[in-house]
Amino acid sequence: MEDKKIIELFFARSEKALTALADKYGKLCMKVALQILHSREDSEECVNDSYLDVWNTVPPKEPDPLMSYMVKIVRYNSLDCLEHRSAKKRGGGEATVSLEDVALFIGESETPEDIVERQFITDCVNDFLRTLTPADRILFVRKFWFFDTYEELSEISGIKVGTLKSKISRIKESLRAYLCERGVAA
Amino acid sequence: MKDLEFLYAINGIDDEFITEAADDERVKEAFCAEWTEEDESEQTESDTTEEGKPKRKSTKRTHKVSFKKLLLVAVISILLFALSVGVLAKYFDINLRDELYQIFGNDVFIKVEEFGSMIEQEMPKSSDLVVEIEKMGIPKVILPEVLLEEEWLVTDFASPFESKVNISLTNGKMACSVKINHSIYLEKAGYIGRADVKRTESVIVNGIEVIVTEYRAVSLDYAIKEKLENGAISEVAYTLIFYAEEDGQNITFEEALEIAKTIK
Repeated sequence: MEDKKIIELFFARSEKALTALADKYGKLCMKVALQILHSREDSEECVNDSYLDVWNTVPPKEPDPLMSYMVKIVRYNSLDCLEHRSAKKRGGGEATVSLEDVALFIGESETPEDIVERQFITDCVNDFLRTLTPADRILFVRKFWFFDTYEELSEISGIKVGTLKSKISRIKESLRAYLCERGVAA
Repeated sequence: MKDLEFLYAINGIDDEFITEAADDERVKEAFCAEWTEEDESEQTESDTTEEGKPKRKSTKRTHKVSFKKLLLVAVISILLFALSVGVLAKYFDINLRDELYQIFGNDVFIKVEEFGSMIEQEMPKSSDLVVEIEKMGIPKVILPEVLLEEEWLVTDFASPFESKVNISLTNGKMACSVKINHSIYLEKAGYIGRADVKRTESVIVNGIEVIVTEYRAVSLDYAIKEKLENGAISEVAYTLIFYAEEDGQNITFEEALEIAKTIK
């Protein structure tokens, strides 16, 4: 079903909207949540909470594209869940593979703690992404936003896994330097 | 937390990037373009003109590598590698015997198992010990009956290396420690299947039961007798597991029994 049609169902307050949303983006949402939480139970809970969030915000919102709106909510909910879980088990070795992958960026002494600072980093990342070639930008977004594995990236790009790893490593280094210049990273 | 903050921050990236990355057509287009660019640049480098004009010089540089230099680099790398393994081993107090490391190609796998997580958990009773130790891959665990019957509580259960298990126990009145060293057992993988108990005997020494066990056909590559005599394993108050070679080069069962009787 097209996104527009799904939005119409939400506006009509039809529960079919949730089914359609789950059919279309449920798998992607679960993948993203699982990569962050590494727990099927928690991921399902987060994804279900996210459906409810969409239900509560659409209308009045009319998200376009719907996919990124939905997945962003899933990511926020999953990260919140991870944060609460980590706070409970502080020092419990809760690191995920994906977190290890991005373990480079923000200096501990300058950890951004408020939304304004976080937005500043987001803006910096957006600016950085504009400097990349489309292929590199896609690799970055698919790796760190969609949490694709190197094997999945290799499949879509036709690049060998080893080459991909060094390519993504170079992009990460460039981002680190870019953020450094703006006083964000260590 | 710093990584989490980053993940939060990139969550808000512009929709245009997300849409682009999710659009199969655009993804295909982007990578096709990348491949085309690379192909073109390679082609330009190798182009020659039909009119016999000189071939355009490649921008690629060729580095001549001297064999001697290569050899020197290789030797230095090997030395650095050996040094770092040695330093690491010393730092972690790892005894680099055969059973503790294996080499696959260029990788050295050092087997170190820590059972710190067990300490955080509820400790088992002594009657559960055999199962716990067997879970660690140590076969044929023989513990003194007194430990199994009286339900001693395990106060510490640690295995700094795969080949050693240190267990501290208490029954409320007294405490003891049991150290099981099965490194000899593991040293010869081929013997594992044949390492049957040959004979076992318990003696009561100062009211403490000491079990002496001899395994058949297991090689002993260091002198356990010497270790006992110099006190290196004198803390083994309850259980002694001896391994003797059939050719009798090392300690014999009778010798082990005699040593066991002298333990205070």
